[in-house]
Amino acid sequence: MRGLQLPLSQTQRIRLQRAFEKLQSLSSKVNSDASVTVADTIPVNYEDAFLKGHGTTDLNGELVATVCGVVERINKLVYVRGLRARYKPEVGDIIVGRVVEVAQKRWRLEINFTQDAILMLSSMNMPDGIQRRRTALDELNMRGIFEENDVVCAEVRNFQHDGSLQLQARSQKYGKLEKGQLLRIDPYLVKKSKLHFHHLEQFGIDLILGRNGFIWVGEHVETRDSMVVDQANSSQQSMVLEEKDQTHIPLEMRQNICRIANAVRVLSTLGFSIDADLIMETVELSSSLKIDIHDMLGSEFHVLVAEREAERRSLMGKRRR
Amino acid sequence: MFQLSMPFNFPKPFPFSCFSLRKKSVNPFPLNTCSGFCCTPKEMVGLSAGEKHFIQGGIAQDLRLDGRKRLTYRPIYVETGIIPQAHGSARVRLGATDVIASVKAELGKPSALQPDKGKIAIYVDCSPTAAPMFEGRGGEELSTELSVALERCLLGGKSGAGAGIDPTSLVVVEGKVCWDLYIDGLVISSDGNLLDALAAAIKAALSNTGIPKVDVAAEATGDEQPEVNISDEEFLQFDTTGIPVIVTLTKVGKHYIVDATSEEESQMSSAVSISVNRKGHVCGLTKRGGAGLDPSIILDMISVAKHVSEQLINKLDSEIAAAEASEE
Repeated sequence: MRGLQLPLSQTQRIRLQRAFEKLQSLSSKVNSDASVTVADTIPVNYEDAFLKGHGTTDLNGELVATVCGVVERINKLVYVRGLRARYKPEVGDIIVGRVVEVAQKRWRLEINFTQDAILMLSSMNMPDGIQRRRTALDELNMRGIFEENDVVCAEVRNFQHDGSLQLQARSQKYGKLEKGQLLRIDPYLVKKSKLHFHHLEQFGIDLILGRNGFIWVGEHVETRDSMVVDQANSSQQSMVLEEKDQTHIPLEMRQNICRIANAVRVLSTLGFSIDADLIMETVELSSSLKIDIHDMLGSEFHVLVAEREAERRSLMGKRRR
Repeated sequence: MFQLSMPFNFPKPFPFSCFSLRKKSVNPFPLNTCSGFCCTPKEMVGLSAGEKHFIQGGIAQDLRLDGRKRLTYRPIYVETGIIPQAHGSARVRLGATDVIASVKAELGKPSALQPDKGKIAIYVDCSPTAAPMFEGRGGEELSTELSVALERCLLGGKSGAGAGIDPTSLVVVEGKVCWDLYIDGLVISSDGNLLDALAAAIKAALSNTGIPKVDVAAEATGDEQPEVNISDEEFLQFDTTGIPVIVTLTKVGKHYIVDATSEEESQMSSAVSISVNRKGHVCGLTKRGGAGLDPSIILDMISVAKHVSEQLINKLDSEIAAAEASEE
């Protein structure tokens, strides 16, 4: 069992262990998910053709792990995923990053990768929405768009020849993120899915699941259509924004943001893959049991979530059969 | 790993500087406010203006980032007896803050000025694994600040008056032999509120400490050192109910919060750490941070700290008892 940093009582420990055993028995890859340390042999059927992936090496005819982690198998590829691995980007991934440096015609973002990602000024929409060539004045006004330490949502565009990453933020749904909190979890918990931007209508909250493990939970921001430029409205909107800066987020929305953030924290501590449905279920579980927002981080709620997940997966398994 | 032999007459008081001396080469990320401790959040991550606004708004509305109220502590996790070679040890986890305290006792000679008292020295080390800026000599300033603050809060004045740990219980033969206690703290992971965690760890380590019983073998006259037999079997336990806990109140905007995380600490204007014992008496006081405080605010903070410390002492005592029970 994973070493959870939680003060568990004896009964809670037993319940949690039972829930994890149930989940393991339900998992389809029951024998293949072995945790290995360096120089452990990986259990593989040597007669099948298989590809040796990252974290493995051939030693005396046996497949041996070179990192501590979990064995993953995808089709014929066998590799070892390290426990504290950094994010492995793919083209088209949606990520959330933090601006580290404002350089010439580009911003450098930290995204939990081995190198900082680059967001070119030309890959970014201009505030007025017009498509035009970037002038020297635009370059001087870069800080007006993104400053250091700003949280930005973008998409992976391609890899440079030196291995670094290039991002783009062309659509209106990308851009600076304010009025919320950023959570950092392990990147392998966020699987690729159709939708990474979730607008939770009943709370009025934006939830962005960055594939690099950065999760943004914040107040919903209306994405304006850049083609419709209404002069009168835009000046009114800028005034309203300034006033909003002075006031704080209403208490109820803040409670929802905190509840969702805590749900993400609980799920990442337990090691479950994060997706919006699971987060919503966890939030509903906590509000139906009238658990205080802060108590969601206590050991009792962790055990409840684990048990609930084990039940849900066993039901899903039964339905399939 | 721990520095065991420390001279008791540690030079104090340490001059508190409100502007930290950060080495530019170590910290590439600019921070907008200076935190009272010269070292900063665990990953040196800056915060955007929107996030800072969110944190300050949360504190103003009594709902912090993880749903806590202003005066709620994070769950405390105590383990005792983790270092078998030491006479007493404990590990305390406060959220992501992780600290270890160990107590080692050695026989020594009491000082000529106070022949009826033993000696206690506290030393804190910030491990480089806690944050990159602690590498090499980076963590030294923070270590000294923490050590001095803890000594001030737990050991009382120069004459030993008002100490949380009674030094007269450490003497074996008056004027000749006494126990020297070396209390070492190690910061493994830092997510704010190091002082509270260290004080809790020291309290737990002292509860776990067993000082070996000493039989004085022969009577000595004059300046001779008497022979002593250190028993391997019998141990004396400390009475730790009198040891104070430290409550740090961090002022952000117009409100104070207890147990700040490193993000919240980066937004603070000032922080006051008050050490309170079971009777509700203030045993020590430390103020950090660049902003000035009106005296009425400090008095208000002291009363808030007294109120919070009652629950904290009870919670800590029950956790320590549970840890000791599970250790057996």
